[in-house]
This record gives sequence, C-alpha cells and structure tokens, in this order.
Amino acid sequence: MKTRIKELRARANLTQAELARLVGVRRETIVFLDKGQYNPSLKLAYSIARVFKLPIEEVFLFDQDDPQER
Amino acid sequence: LKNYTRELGLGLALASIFAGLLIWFMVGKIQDPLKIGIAVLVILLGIGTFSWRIVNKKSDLKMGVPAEDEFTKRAKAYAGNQAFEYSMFLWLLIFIFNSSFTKAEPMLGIGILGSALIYGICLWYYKTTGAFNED
Repeated sequence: MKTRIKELRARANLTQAELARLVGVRRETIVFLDKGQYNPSLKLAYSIARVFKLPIEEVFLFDQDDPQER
Repeated sequence: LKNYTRELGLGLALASIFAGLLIWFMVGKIQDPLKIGIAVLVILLGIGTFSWRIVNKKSDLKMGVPAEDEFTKRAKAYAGNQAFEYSMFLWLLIFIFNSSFTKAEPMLGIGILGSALIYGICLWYYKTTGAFNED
C-alpha cells in the first residue's frame, strides 16, 4: 500500500508531530505511515483522511497488482 | 491518564517484587558480595528504567500525545508472539544441555532472563523497524 500522507502534509503545511496530535497517535506512527511501512487501522486511516478533507482512497493507494494486497 | 495509572500500578507491583528480592538476597542464604552486587545493579537498572518510562509518559501526556497507540500495541503483540517462539528454542537448548548445569538455579535464571532479553530485543527491533507490518 502506498500513501500520499507526506505530500498532503507538505501541502497542508503540517509537521509529523502536528498530524500525530490531530489524529491522536505517536509521531513514530506517522513516520512509518509517511514511508509506507505501516498499514493503519481503518479508524486511523479515516481520521487521517478527515484531516486532509479527502476520501480514504485518495490518501491510501492500493496497488491491485501487488500479490500481497489481493 | 488511564495508561499512566496502569503503568504506575504495574511499577509499584514490580518495585514491591524487587524490594522483596533485595531483602531475600540481603538476609537469605546468598552472602557472596558479587551476587549481591549484581542483584543491586539489576534492581537499580529496573528502577531507573521504570522512572525513565514514567517521566517519558508523563511528558507525552502533557503534550497531548498518547503513551501508546495502535502501532506500539501491534509492535508489542508481535514482539511477544515472536519472543515466545524464540524462547521455546532457548528452553529446548537449556533442556538439551541440562547435564552441563550442576544446579537448577542458573538453568532457570538463564531461561527466565534469556526470555526477557529476547522479548526486549524483539520489541526494540519491531518498534524501530516496523518490520511486523510486512506480512
């Protein structure tokens, strides 16, 4: 799974710590999310999407060709 | 704050155990200064780690950051799972080489401390790399 969190954060001028506080997680979680190394729960994905006022599928991108995501 | 209270309760329980162990070491059969020294060092290390964690968690709470979130909870669960598996191998090795131990205490000590160490290493690894998320 890929995410646009880094790009959206930059656009919204949000630091990792600020986004973490807004969605109620630790900064380390945002670090791993930024790198695409962590698959968040649906609740966290929804909270993040709400911060950016976008639907979940525009923040988290599923690669259908990736066998792990089928 | 709930997490903080739970942590404090756990810490107090551990501190009581440590204090009990300390008394046992001091007045019990073990009179070897080296062993007492090691015990005191372990106790100090435990108290130090606990205090550091409490201070960290308190500052996190002040900043409005949760002491634990879904990532850390998942990392802990995964580390526990992996540590259990590796500990089984450690205990298997201990039982294979049990004839090398003249007393049961060192054998049990290696098993218990080894398991704790394995869990610590697993937790550190998964928290810093997030590798548990690759599955």
